[in-house]
Amino acid sequence: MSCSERLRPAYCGLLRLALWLALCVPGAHAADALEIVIVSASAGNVATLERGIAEQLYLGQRSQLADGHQITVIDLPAGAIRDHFYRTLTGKKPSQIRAYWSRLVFTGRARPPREATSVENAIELIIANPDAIGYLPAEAAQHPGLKVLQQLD
Amino acid sequence: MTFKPLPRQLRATLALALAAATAPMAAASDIDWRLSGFATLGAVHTRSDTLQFARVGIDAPGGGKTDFGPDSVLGLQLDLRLSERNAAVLQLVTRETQRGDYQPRPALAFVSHAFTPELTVRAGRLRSPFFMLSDTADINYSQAWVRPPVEVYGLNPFSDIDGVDLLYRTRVHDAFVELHPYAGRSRIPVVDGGRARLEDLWGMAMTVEAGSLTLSAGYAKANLDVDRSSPELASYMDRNNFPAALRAELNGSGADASFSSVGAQWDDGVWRLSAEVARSSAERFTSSATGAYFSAGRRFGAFLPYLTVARQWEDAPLVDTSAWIGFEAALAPFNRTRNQAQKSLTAGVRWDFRTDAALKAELTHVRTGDGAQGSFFARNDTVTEGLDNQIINLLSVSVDVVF
Repeated sequence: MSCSERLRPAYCGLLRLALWLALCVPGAHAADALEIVIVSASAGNVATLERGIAEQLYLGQRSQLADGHQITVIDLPAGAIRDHFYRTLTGKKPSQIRAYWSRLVFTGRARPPREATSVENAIELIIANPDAIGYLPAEAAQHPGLKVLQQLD
Repeated sequence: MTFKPLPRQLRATLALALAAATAPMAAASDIDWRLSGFATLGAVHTRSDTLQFARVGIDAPGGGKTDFGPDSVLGLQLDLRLSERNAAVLQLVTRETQRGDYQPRPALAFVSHAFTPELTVRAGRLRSPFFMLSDTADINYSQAWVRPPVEVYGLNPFSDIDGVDLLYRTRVHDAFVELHPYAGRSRIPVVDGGRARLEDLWGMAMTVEAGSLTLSAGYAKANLDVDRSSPELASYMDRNNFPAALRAELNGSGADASFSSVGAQWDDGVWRLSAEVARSSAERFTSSATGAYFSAGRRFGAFLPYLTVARQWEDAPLVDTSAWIGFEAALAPFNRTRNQAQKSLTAGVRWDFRTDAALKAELTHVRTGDGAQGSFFARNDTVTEGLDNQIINLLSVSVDVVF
């Protein structure tokens, strides 16, 4: 969008600011239409995963499955997919999640999920670690090395 | 800023952490370690010619009307997973100390063992969980405001404990419950020289999270030792012929002390509300007081404007002057500087301008109580009359990051 030449520069600035603020408002993301799935390596140790347990793992409220099995939780880099995932799984907004995790991490209560550098990197990390779980856009999870544990909508 | 050589204890901690970080990595390449951190650059401007703002007991008064000391902080944390059930955490924090320097201090330096997925024991240096938010007092990014209300968080300056705690964290229906008993000791420097200690410290903190609502309660007990060793204080006591029994009310060991708090937070993604009442009482060496605040904020996209009202009442002064006829005038400034009673109204806004950084600005209108200096130090002579019952405005600006 470009500013009309009839508008004075000051209004242009305000308009840009307003547009930018509007984009900052959560809920305005195209990612809302995304389908996200929680996955692990198809040859891995995680057989099933309840949604409630997944929520607790991603909120640092537990780091193990009910049978005591330690899980490595993989996060995607900051962005629309991650924000959508947390909003769908935990009901928390991105800013809430970051503040929430900073409290957990810096009081020594929990370790944050391991952050992958990209979707491709997340797939590599999940396949390489039989105890890892992660989340991906549904189409990226069509990989022979992965199995879908939970479909989020 | 002055950086003093690291104390022996800290050098030992660092060496240990480095050894722990490097040795297992050499032995097994799959050791899982993370480095993370948090920082605040904050400036507070006090609009007063006679008083200056300080986090009483936490930072040192100093500087001009604009002070970077009270809020600026840098923390680095190394997390090590040693095995499936064992972990170690080292967090070094540098902020202005009570001595006015920036000597780093381990705020966390513990090893932990998970007995079960729900029960973990930790031993070493831990953050003290006296009040609802005291274990995140340095983690300003996690809160809306520039700093937690001093009316409550100034009640207890002991920011960490050396000891043992248990974290029992479990689900009860739809609620997440954390029980957090702890025991140990704590030691901090005193502004102008000396040390304060909490010995035989034990306590319990409890948190219940259910949806948007979090409820907290805590109680702790300890023996308080205070050794104020500034030469100015010694000469003041000499000049005013303080008898030994009176000096023993100012300095000494073994005073019963207790801390308690109840609080609640609500965060539904739009509204953010929090309220807390906390109490600190001590038999001797420091005043006893009660503090409370209520804060309400609402998110508008990346902006979170908020309002906070807070108040502290003094329950008992440092020294009961009615027991010391003839010393009232000499004790008055002493009691006044240890009386943090004040009420305040704060209006501010937090702006999350990046995913990992927030800019905050707030205006605080403070009225200090009768016979109280509140959260302020005298710019000049502490003994001067008329430093209580003041109206003071503060402007605070800060940038918080986590990485």
